[in-house]
Amino acid sequence: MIREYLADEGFRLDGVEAALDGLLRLGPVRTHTRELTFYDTFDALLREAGMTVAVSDPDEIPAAARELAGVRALLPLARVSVTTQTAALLDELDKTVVRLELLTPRGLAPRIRLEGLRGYEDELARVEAALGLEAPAPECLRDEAVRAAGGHPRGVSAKVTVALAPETRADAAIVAVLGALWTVVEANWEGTVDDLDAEFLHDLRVCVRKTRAVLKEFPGVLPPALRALWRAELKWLQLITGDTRDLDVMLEDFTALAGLLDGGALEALEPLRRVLIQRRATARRLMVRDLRGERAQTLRTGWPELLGALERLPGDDRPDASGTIGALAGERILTVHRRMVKMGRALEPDSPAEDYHELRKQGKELRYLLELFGMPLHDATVVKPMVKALKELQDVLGRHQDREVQALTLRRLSGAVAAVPDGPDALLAMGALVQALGADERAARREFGDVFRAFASAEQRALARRTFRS
Amino acid sequence: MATILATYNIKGGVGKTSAAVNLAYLAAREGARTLLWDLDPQGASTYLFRVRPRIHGGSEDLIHRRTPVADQIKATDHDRLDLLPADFSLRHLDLALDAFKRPTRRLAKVLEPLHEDYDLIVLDCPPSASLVSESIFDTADALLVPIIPAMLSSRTFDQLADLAREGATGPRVFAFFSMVDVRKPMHREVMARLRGVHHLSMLGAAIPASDDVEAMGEERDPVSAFAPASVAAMAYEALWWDLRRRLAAPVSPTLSR
Repeated sequence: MIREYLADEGFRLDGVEAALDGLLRLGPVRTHTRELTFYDTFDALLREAGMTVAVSDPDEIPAAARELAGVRALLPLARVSVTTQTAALLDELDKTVVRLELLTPRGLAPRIRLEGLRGYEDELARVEAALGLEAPAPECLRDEAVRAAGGHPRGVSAKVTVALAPETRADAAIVAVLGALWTVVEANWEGTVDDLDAEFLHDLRVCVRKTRAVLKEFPGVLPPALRALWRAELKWLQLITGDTRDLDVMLEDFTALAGLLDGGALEALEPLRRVLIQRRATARRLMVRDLRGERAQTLRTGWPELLGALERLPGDDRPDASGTIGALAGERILTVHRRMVKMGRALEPDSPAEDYHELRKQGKELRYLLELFGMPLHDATVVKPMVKALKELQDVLGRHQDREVQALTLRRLSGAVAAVPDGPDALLAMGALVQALGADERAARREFGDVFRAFASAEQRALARRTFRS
Repeated sequence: MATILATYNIKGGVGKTSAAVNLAYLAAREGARTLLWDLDPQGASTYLFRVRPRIHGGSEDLIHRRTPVADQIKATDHDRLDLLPADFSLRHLDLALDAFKRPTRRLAKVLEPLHEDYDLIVLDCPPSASLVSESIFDTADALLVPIIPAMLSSRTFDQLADLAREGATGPRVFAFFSMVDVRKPMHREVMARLRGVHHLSMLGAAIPASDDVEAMGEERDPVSAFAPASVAAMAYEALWWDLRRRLAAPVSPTLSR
């Protein structure tokens, strides 16, 4: 059990024994100074798991931290020189009962850390009382260091949540949501350009897609001309990042894809992997050129400017702007829900793949609306199961679409793969893979009926009406 | 699920506590979450870790589980190494156990709540052949028997192995030579003979009779902690290495039990 407190100015370890007034004895004090770097993923996965990694050398990062990080890169978030004085507090048997540390990080607040040993909780409480330590430090050293370095202690996630009140003006609520989404896009921009890991681009694209869904589904909140302009610009941003993301997904899923075939496929498909890596490098070069280009810079300044000014714009061509977000969002959620039910009912087992894809796109929009507006504005215990039913449907539709796109990508790459060493052998495996993908796509179609019926059941539709009809 | 290891010998003064303390320390140093239970009312392990020999409500409350065992545990000064201290009331443990319908299963019951908290539980047992001993045989996965290389000690080990064999699911029994003085011809002869007889359950390492081991009482710490480069500390490291390797190996029913 470790407790951390901010130390008063002038706190010294050698004064502790006097403060304890014979209660415990201070053991020998050891002092050392280390240059520590705090590591975590951009979305603070380690912090979320309760792990702090502060090391002098990246080689010291524990394997458990790398495992937790998964596909995300462990980034140096803050560097601090910390002088630590350590001593044991000993009872009359010379037994350590509490460990005491005074941390003096350069440029940050000094801290006292107390570690109570099991079975000596009373002694820990007495030490806290004797030293006048009451309120624990408001944030840990890691968080303070990351904040001081200009970072986000809790990390940046694409799961944007904005607290909303139903009676808020619609344009104010939408500006708040779009602003929060753009903050995440901006936060991920440099990591995308620098290719720190593939999730920067993924999170950037998720938030752009959510922004586009909001613009599409709330047509009466922005002036039509401005809405059309920014929808086009955001579509362009999605377009220039699309190829790289598709190739990232292919490479991330490569082992799993090879798993669709019999053993040995991974080795046979190696030439394909090399081609994917080459293609990704090319796609990234083009993407980075565009992200650094003038059009992107205009987007980065112009879009937040519009959000800052939107509520002051005249309302005559924005009929929904002055309504309440509760009523407007509920009406939009119901509309998209009904649209999905209608589209899904029209699907047949042999409908074109494009129709399934259109339903999936609607599903994404509905999910974003539920997460961005449904959850904050309505009873989360009702909305969460709706999101879950939708997610199950989306998983099947997503698999269907992914298989379609993957098979198409493989066909397109066949010429390039044939031209590399061992390519002809890889083509055989790719042919088998296209077949396996087709079989899995058909399996997804067969599963669609059940998950769609669950999503579009009379109970679910009635629940949606009860929840979102104002 | 924790592995339970008991250092045991019918005789006293043969190096049980030194082995328990040093092996528990080495296991914890390696990363195992380790608990040492000092079952000897004399409380030598408890003394060595500078902990007061006291159980709230005494050993009777502990074995009746009126006192939660987890509340009685004390951390030692070493990471991952905790101690369940001795209490003078442990001298009546035989009587207290006798009150139960299945007395020999009682110690295992007491330890039940701790199995997820620890990787290794070491029992430092009192010297006796009694209901406490039988309880230890029913609780431990392995017994570790220190033997001073003398005629009487080898008979002691035979008696012990017979006792352990009585139970079909009894613990594995390992022995090691303790307090060895290789200058004594008698020690050398007995070691050679016993290794021949019990070679598969005799551990290779032998703990020397050493001033460093005796100094544990003065230092109040495992010899492996205060004199890690000493011959005795290295002998305990070798003993732990051998024992850990054998504990990880599958049980051989004819030779190891």
